[in-house]
Amino acid sequence: MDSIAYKGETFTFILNWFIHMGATLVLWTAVYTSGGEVEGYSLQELIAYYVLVLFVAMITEVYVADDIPNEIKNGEISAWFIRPIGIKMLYLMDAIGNKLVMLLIQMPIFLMGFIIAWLVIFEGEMLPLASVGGLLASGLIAVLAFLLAYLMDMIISACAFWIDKTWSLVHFKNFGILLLGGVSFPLDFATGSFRTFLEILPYKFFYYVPVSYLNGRRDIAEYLLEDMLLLLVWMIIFYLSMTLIWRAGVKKYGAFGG
Amino acid sequence: MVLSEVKKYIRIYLAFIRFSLADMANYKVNSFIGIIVDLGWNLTLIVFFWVIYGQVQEVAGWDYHEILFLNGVIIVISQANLALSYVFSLHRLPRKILRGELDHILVKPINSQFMLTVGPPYLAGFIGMITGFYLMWYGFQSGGFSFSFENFLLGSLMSICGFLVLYCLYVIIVSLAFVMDNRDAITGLANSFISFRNNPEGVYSGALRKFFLVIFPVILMGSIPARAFLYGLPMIEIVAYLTLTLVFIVFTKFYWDYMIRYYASASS
Repeated sequence: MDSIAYKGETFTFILNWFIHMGATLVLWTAVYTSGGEVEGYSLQELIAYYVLVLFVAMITEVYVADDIPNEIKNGEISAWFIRPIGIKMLYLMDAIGNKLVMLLIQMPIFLMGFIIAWLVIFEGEMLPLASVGGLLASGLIAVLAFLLAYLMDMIISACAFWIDKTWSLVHFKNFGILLLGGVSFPLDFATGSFRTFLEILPYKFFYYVPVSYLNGRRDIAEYLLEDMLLLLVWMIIFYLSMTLIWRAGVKKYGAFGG
Repeated sequence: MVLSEVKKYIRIYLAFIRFSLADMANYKVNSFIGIIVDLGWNLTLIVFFWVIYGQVQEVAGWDYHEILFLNGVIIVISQANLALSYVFSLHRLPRKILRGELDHILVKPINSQFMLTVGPPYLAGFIGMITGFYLMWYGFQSGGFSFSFENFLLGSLMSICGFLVLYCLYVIIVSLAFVMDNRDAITGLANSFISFRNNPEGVYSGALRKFFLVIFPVILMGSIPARAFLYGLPMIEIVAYLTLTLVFIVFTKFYWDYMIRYYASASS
């Protein structure tokens, strides 16, 4: 209901993405002026990459850490300790519900933009997209990355038991994802030890890996199992961290009100 | 009369600074994390260009050293904006309008634009400027540029113009919250449009260049000051940019006075 009620916000969210993408693509167009390819990407393939980032973002983005810290700060969280469903589960269900509705609203707009881009930029030529297998692999990684993002947000939220303003940690998460997740540039452009560093971190699962399966640059037979294992390891680490931090936070928590 | 008004506003601003110092002292950990976050955002800009210049030698006529210098200028202007008007004032304005929290400010005998768009400074934001100054110094040194006091003054003047135009653009966009329901998204929209300043001016040509130079002058917030510092500017451009800044300041004043009429108090 929220998503439908705030149609303007949804529209602005998409508009923001397109404006950001516009600013980045103007620069890349200048980079490609001399012609050729950058790390195997033509300009058209790079544009397709950024469009697919937008598509993957619709699945992997989570904004739980904007609300829970306020509940902790205001003492409203107390009520959740005596309810049969915990706040963590409630927010997960809420995030999933929101996501499904947002997908229904955003997907037609995205598809419209995608078709326009296809006709204007690619002049109706075949798009660099993967097989059905790539689509499924991408979807699977994106769904798990959504859960990973949720766990990350819950860890940030739990910090509100100690820190008054957790917005700074949200920024931390955002610039980490922007820089290390493949939003600013495809991680193929990073070289040497920086690339190795990016491969170990969990951020690549939010954008780069799902997009790479979608555009067929990541071979399923070679990488899927490895990606799944690493993703599961990070999910376990994040889940254990979240549980420990929440437990410690609840012990420290002093409820307000009578 | 004018002097006493100026003194009044200086006294108010000093009170704002005391308030900000107290806030910093109360929230030491938050302030520290805030500084790290600012540095992190600056890092995203630097790494992005570092990756690009790992692939090419030049982008739109700007080499790596010039781009480092440009990034430095952008960071300095951006941090000054964060510290002096954005974090504690402009960023919060749409929400204040939504909640009808402007009543007690509007009844005071103080300029509403000053109170609501300048307000208390975010002192931790000044620390982030260090990254910008370092990048400017590093780009200047490694690029082998020779120092000219005249260019230094000119670059500083253009940076001030860039800062003022940035402030005006934020006020213009954020003031839309007086008439639009979609208030929270407005600051996000402002930030997205302003991100076009991160590109070197050479990437914009034709109508796009005219748009970003005159109508929505993001080029004045980075490329022009950087070029002035490094190479100087012809007199005609200096006069044009000073005039443009003045036009924006005057327009913003009238625009603010017009938009604030649409404020609807939330109290009963």
